[in-house]
Amino acid sequence: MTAGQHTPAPVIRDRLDLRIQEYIEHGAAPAESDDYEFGRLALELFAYQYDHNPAYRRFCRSRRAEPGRLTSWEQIPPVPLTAFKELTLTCEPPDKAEAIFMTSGSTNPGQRGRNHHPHLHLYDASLRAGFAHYFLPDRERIPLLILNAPPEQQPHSSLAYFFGRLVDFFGAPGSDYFMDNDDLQWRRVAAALREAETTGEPVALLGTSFAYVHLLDAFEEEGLSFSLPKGSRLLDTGGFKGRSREVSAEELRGQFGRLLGIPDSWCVNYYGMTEISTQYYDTTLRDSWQGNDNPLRRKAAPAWTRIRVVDPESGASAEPGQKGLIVHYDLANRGSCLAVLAEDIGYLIPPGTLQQDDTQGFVLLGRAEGTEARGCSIALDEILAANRNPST
Amino acid sequence: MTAEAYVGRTPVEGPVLDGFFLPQLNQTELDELMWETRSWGSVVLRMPVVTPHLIDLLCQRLLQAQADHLAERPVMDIVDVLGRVITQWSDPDYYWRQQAEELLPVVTGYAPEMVRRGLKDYLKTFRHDRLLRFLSQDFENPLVLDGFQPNRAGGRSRAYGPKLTTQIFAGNVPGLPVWNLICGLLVKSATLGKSASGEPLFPVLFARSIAEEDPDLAACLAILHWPGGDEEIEQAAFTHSEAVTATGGRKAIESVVGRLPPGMPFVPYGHKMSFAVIGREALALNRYAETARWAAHDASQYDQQGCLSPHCLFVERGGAVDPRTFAAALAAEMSRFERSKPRARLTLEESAGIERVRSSYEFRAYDDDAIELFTSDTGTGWTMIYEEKPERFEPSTLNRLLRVHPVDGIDDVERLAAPLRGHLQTAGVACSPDRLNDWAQALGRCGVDRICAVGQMPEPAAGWHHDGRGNLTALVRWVDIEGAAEAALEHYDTEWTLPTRQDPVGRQL
Repeated sequence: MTAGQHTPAPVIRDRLDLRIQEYIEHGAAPAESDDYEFGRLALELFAYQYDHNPAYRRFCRSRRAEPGRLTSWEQIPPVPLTAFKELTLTCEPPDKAEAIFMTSGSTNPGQRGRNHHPHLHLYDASLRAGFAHYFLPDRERIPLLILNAPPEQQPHSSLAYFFGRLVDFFGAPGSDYFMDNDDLQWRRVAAALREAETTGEPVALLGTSFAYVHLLDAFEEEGLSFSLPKGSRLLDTGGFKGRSREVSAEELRGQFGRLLGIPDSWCVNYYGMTEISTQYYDTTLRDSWQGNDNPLRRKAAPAWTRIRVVDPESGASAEPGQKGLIVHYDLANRGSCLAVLAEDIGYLIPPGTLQQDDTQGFVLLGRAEGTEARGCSIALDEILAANRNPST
Repeated sequence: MTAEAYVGRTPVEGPVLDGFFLPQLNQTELDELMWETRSWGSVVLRMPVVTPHLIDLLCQRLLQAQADHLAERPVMDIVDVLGRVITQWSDPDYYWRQQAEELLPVVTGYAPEMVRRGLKDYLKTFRHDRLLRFLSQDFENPLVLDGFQPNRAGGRSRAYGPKLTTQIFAGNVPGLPVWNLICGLLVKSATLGKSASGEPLFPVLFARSIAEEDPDLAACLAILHWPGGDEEIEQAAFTHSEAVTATGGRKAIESVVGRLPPGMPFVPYGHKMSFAVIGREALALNRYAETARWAAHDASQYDQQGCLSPHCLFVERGGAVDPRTFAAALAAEMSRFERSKPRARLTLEESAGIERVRSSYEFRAYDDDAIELFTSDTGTGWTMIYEEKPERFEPSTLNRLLRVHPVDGIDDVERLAAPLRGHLQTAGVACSPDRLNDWAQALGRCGVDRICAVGQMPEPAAGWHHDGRGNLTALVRWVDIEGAAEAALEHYDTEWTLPTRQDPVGRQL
């Protein structure tokens, strides 16, 4: 424990944890959403994080934000993702954390973002409520075929933890992992899918978009295709930056339909990050289950979260429909900072359009990177690459 | 198809301007092309939809025009015409200049005042006298472009330019394509120019100003836009060309290289980085303020988009003011420049990129006094990072983000810059004259190819060996008549080979 770090007042902390947990357990889209309670919890959590997370406190002070002065959750200063790399953002001693999830650090392996979780009760509550509402509204359990390594192989991966907990909470017999370290065991996947076809028992596939590309490439090469039983579904996440070939989401879903026999709306993409504690799902599966086929694919922010879209130049909120950077307000992100400025671009769906429930809808457009600057810009990795291969 | 066959990408509001220069085609031929309109802010440009067939036709016409009007034209004649064109541009009331000053800020987003000054400063480097220097920098005797001239080896040489050069223009800094057009004309090459989508207009305006002065010369230029990397179109262009130049990023250049016919002369202008070194003498009490102003100008001009723009400054310790104080002065000057010539609006991605760098340094500065962050009050207008112990020379995100690193001397600079060898271009220097030579040696070793004064980084002198090469010599093909051949050919002087003449009485003369 470093000097200057407060010992959390356990009573305050535990009461707050319990109230947040209760709030989450009301469900992702409770019949009566409670904006007032969200705002109160957010400000109380902010006050707690301000008091107990010295690095965050410093950040807030530089933005002239302190607990007594804020009147609304929208004023809570969001930390940029770099803060998770440069600072130790934690409200409890880092060595006492139950889990430290780390980013993959694909651009700079030496510098990975770290999110400290003193415990995982809220993380678990959040992942349960979201998954049940948006991906499994129709049943208690389902066989989960996971195209990812088991959590014990990746102790610092929030993704591996997420999939592992889903198996614990929702996995019917037959649930399994089909990746051993980096090796995707597609033959085993094929066997499991054949079995589902035979038994007529629906299954759920879960994995990164990148893993699916490999799976589908292998199936296509072998001439394999499946017609999975009704009720089968698929969850994918993430992009492809720098890995294998790039495939558009539409193209990928087309392949899911063709090679797996899963209808478009039952292919759900979710958006999650190491730096937060909630997943945002496409609403298509739930909408389709309720008999509403929405033309626009959108993601929903569950009740214990809010999404704000901001203009990076002014920091002001963008109007619904207008593109900007996504800011997360996530009550489940209790261990570090509830307000996080992502490097993703998206827009909010104007209220009243297409929404079946009270949750906030948004469209994620992608990472705020990869566009080439107009000028003579040279990315550092380009120079490093050129120096490694002097012939090019 | 008629001119009505527009592929309108955007609703057309203002007047539609011509975003192409094709004097080789008559009105009927133009009418038969497919057209599209594209808008840059409120500027709407009409452009032909380019096909390989159109390129074939244009190249044939360009080759003919080159043979008729350029191949045998004395180079000094070409210099005279270009000199007259540049003189026109120096007149603030000149029509094409007014057009450029009005339209380019809209197209590029650059501040109007910055475009105005930038064009003026850039174009004056092509005045008649500068063009002569440009030629003599590359050719000891520029008349080698017209005929065989004595060479040092005792023979004679002539330089032949390509009949036709495909030139892929830059779009980051208005005016740059003028350089390519002039290089082509000086070596008597026709140019098929591909304008950049970032700024497609200026080369067209400049070509039209040449056409007013000398339509024959302008007939050797064609400028149009196609999507960069279109293989069929570029294949057609390369097939007819004898040389190719391209300005662009590594990927674009590599893509072109991969598709060139074998042996095709190719002059790439890849993305480069520049920096400045501020010596302790320039930090004297009566000098440091203006040094800061000049450095801020270099970093802010064209929003740091040019290859000539400094990515960082190395500031020597031991001056009257220390590097940190200088950094504060520089921050004030960055702010002043921003007030008079605000930076262009950025895309979300660009703004986010700057915010990412800023926040990373902000957090590092929490526990590190050796880092300080200076920024514009609101937005991402300018950013200056003072960092005492940089891990390495880090490229800037551009758009007025400048790092300042204190150093103990030129050795420190060499250590940090040398790993970027091959990517470096201009080094601005501010130091006492007696140290210039040593500094230049060290900078040359790092891979720099231009050394200039701080404050003059955006305006290279005429004839600079852009990217370390003779830009005209890179395009030409030499033909040598050997000295020994000239001597040996005396042997065949007809005077010696005619039948012997005899006088009427049979006596040999």
